[in-house]
Amino acid sequence: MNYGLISVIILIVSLILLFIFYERKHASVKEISLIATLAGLAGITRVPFAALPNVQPTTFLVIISGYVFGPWFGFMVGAVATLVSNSFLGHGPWTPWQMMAWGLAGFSAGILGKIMKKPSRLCLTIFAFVWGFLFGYIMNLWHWLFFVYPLNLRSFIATYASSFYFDLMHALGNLGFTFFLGKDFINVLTRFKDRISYSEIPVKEIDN
Amino acid sequence: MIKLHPFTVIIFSVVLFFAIIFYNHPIYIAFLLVALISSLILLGESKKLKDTLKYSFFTVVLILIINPLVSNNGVTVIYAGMRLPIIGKFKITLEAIVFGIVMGLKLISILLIFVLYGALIDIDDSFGFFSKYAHRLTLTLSMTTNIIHRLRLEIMRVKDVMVLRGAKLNEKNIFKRVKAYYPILKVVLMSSLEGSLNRAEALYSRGYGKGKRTLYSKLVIRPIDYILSTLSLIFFGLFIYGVFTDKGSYSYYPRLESYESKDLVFLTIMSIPMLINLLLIWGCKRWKFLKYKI
Repeated sequence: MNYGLISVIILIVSLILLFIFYERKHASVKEISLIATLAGLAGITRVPFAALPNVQPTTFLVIISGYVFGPWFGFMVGAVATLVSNSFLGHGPWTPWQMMAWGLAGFSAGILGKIMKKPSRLCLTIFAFVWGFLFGYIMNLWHWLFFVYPLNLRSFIATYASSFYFDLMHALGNLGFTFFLGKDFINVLTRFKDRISYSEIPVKEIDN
Repeated sequence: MIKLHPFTVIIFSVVLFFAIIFYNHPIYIAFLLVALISSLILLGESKKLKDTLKYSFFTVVLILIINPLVSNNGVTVIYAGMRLPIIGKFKITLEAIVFGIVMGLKLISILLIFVLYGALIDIDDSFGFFSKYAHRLTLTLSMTTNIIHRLRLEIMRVKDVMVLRGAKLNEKNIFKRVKAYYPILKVVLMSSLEGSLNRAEALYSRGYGKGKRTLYSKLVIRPIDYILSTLSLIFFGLFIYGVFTDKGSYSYYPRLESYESKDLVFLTIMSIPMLINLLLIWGCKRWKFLKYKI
């Protein structure tokens, strides 16, 4: 069994299915435009921070956009940001994995936003901190499945242990960004969300 | 540069990608690596080739180190050490080292396929191709690409304004500098989001999303696209045949397998369509006659 090949096929098929879903969802052009802008921001911020290993605001931006605009929006921001910024930074076999990892970060943040309407700053910070590690773990998975043999607990632990400091840096970066910028950015995004959404007032209420 | 239909390039790269991921035969991997490197040099992409090799160096080293350390399966022990917690008995085997080297070569080959794909495809054509089937996704992608360039200008503009208003961006103290940069980040976020809504309204007022999309340029399928796609499909067919009949496989553990001639013959036959593809692409770049003929 070639688990690397199977995993990449599953991953690509699921990404294609998710994109088809996005295509069918009939997102409004304003939503598309906001996704593109947030993805662009998230993608470009990978570049100036390249000097610090694994510290970048991308995860933070993806998480807060998912949190404010909902799971699907968050997923698309994460996936598109990766796809486009990798065309500048270099595509590779890691692209689908990164797309999935960042997409899931946005998606889960959207679910968090649905469950907890007003989470505290600490709660969001912990969430972003945990995603710093989860992102690394998803990325380790492809490394482990593709290039390590035998696939057992031992090699799994060794692969994951070797990336601990990189993941820690990522998590600490997320922690800093979310703690200091989180609330402000969420307020800005919420304002834009209110601008593109509207609610209908039933005719009865106007008549009264 | 030769102009190929995006579908041709995609199918060629995907088949090559799967073949490299699936097969572990050291000779086959080395052969593909040589073929990829030489075709990239012939296509005039040596700078990108060098960059990729530099870029992948760290990961390859990681693979070379981790594999021998974690793998206990080989029988040809080179070094046996003490018993460690979690990892267990520490030993380095020849098989694990060879496996690590081949996996490193495999990683480089996979990266080079991406370089080859980038060299062969025309980005505008591929956007045109995808917009036919997934226009929302393509719109999102092309807007994002556009915004990345726009953001750079936006950041420069906001920076100038902030400097004129008295922000000290070149502070020595890192905390003060971060504090000075923070308003810039917020202004850029707000103004770019504002801009995105304006763009959406512009698109809306031009009737985006009403009715079927029209195409600005038409992609032509030329004879060379048929030839290359057919060869890629033959390659894929052979690959599937190899997968199901277990031809061309190679096992590293417990002891390095010796080369069997039937595996080598199969892998050679399988590589022929791929090599013809590469040669044709190179030939079209080299000889104008061939380029206009097919």
